[in-house]
Amino acid sequence: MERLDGYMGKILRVDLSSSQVKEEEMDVKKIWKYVGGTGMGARYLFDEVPPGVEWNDPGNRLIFFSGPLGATRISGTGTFSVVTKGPMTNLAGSSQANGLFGAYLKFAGFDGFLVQGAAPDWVYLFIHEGKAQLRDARHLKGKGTFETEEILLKELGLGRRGSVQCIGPAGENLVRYAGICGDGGHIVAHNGMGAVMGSKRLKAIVVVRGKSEIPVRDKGAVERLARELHEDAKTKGSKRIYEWGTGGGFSAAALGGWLPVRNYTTNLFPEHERLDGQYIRTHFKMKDNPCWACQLRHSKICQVTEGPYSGFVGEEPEYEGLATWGPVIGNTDPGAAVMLNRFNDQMGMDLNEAGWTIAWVMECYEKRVLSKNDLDGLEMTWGNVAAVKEILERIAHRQGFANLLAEGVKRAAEKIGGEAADWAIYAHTGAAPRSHDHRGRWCEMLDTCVSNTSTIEATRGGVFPERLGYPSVFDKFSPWEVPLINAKENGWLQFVDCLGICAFCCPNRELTVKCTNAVTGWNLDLKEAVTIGRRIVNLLRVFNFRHGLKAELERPSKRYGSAPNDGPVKGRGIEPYFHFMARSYYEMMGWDPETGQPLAQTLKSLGLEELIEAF
Amino acid sequence: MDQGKVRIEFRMAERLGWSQPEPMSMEEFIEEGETLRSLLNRLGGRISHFPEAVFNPQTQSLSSEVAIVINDHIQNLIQGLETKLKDGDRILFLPILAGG
Repeated sequence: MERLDGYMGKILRVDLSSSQVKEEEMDVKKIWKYVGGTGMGARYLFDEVPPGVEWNDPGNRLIFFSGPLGATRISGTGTFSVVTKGPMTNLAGSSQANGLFGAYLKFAGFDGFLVQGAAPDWVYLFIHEGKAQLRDARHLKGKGTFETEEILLKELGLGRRGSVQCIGPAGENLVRYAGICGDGGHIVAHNGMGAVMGSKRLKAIVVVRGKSEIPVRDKGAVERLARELHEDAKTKGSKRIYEWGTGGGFSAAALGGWLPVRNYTTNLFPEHERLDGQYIRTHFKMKDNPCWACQLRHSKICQVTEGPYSGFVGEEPEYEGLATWGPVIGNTDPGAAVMLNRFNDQMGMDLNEAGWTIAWVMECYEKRVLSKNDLDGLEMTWGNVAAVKEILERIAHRQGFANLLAEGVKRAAEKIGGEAADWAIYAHTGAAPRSHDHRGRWCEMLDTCVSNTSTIEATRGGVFPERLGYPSVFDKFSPWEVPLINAKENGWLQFVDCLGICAFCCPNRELTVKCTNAVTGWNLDLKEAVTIGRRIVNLLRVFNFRHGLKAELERPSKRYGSAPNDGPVKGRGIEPYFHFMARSYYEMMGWDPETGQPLAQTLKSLGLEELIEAF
Repeated sequence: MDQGKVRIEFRMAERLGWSQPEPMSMEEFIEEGETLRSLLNRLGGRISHFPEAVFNPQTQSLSSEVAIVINDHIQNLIQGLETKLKDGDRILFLPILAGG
């Protein structure tokens, strides 16, 4: 195969049923259309997982991919995507994690790997210097994610030369929102990637950092653009994250009305300053835990210095961790949030779904729908940190009542039924949203409900149309403007998720495209990059319709779409407008406004003619 | 003629290139009939980085990456940029962050 700049040109196909691992060459035509990461994963998913294959069938695929920027000198290029058919929605799932793994995979000689089948007993995949083998992992059964990582790195004598992705008890026990954890606390979290891995009895993947050289078209330009991209991120687009982490937006969320508090029963959280990144970074002891080549260094380890968890050491929670283990469950102690964040990662679960599930239980307990007896002796009062830790462990092991909670908040609420069913926060496609109060962020609520991966697809916290050359949003609560902006924005984020770079490291879109061109030798412009992203969005959408998606599922639950009782957005609810907004969005995406299905001309314009007959 | 004062609080030091600890507060005199738009125009002419970071007086556009809260209400929910200001109003400028 001729040199393909930005790529190693090879992937691994791992068949756990037959215990065979083989190499395959990358298909150049696929690369041009889908680039890498989420794009390549989406194409393989579409081609190899037909309707009728369920998330836990051996026929499902678990697809890991880096991208062309992976393992280069560009900041934050250890990122990788995992694509599969996920258990929360039984539709497509795509999730990313940062760290080292994506870079090490390329240094080991591979752009990605596909896992299929199911092993008869627990195994792990070992990738080393262009070779891979399956090894016995029975001794790791029941171990938490941090323990698993530590044991494997120690027994293989790897230290920082190795990168591990693994599942914890939650993944082993097929908790629907189990994630895949690695590199000391990074997690591929959304839509149950870890449950799919557990269903295949794959406990871990270990990659040894090899010595392969990453082919790059113009090394000088990459060096220069890498510096420019980082400087831009550090001084402009991600400056706040550089200084205070993603938690640096916590107080702003509280004051702006998008901080989630006590299962949306209120929008007020006067204690917000103590959970803001500024407080944590100026009060706790911090240590860098950087990802591959990252100069933004927002990922840190922290030691709690006050309160009942003083001395505890864990990853500094991201904003979503602070929100979940703080206001969502009614906790005001930042040290407790650090502890719960680490414990949840150790169990190996998506904290968003876990948090909304527990918050719903707390509301049920407060309103006497669930009793201490129902909850196997737990008093699930708001802010009861010890009870939250205990229920997390029970969920991960599917013990007692918590077995129901391991199904996620939508399924648990439907099972309990009655009025309590209306209190759960989720999109009807099956999964809970990120830990925000989206009633203060209509763009993200619409996006979460209509996206093809059941989490944000077009938006990222907010919408940034100016970065694509469009006018700014005038009214972020306009039923007319919100769908228009989301439709215009959609495509960029999916393109970024193809590249193998952390989204925080590349806020400048023009420079990101230039970096891609310098690495690959392509000549993309911003519009073409967005078109690639939109191709992936439409490919995943066709996949989802083939696998049972209906437009009527793309809406918020009653509580999720409700109007806040208090706070900056008091009284303003999206529900009366939601149907109109979704319909407008479909139309502006080139989809049928009634069914939400991509129109033939839309697929044709994106080079997806072969999908026209696929419905 | 001054008719009163509003209190302005910024929680976006990084966007404005400030190094002071947050929140940064200031008081601003307002005139009779003053709107949020006229206040933003005035601040845009006075605070460096304000036009590119928050509100550009030339194009009259408010950045999508900023939220403005007046007396605990998001400004879009009142009358947008035409919101009338009055003595004692508290105006917050907030960044919209990605989460993570």
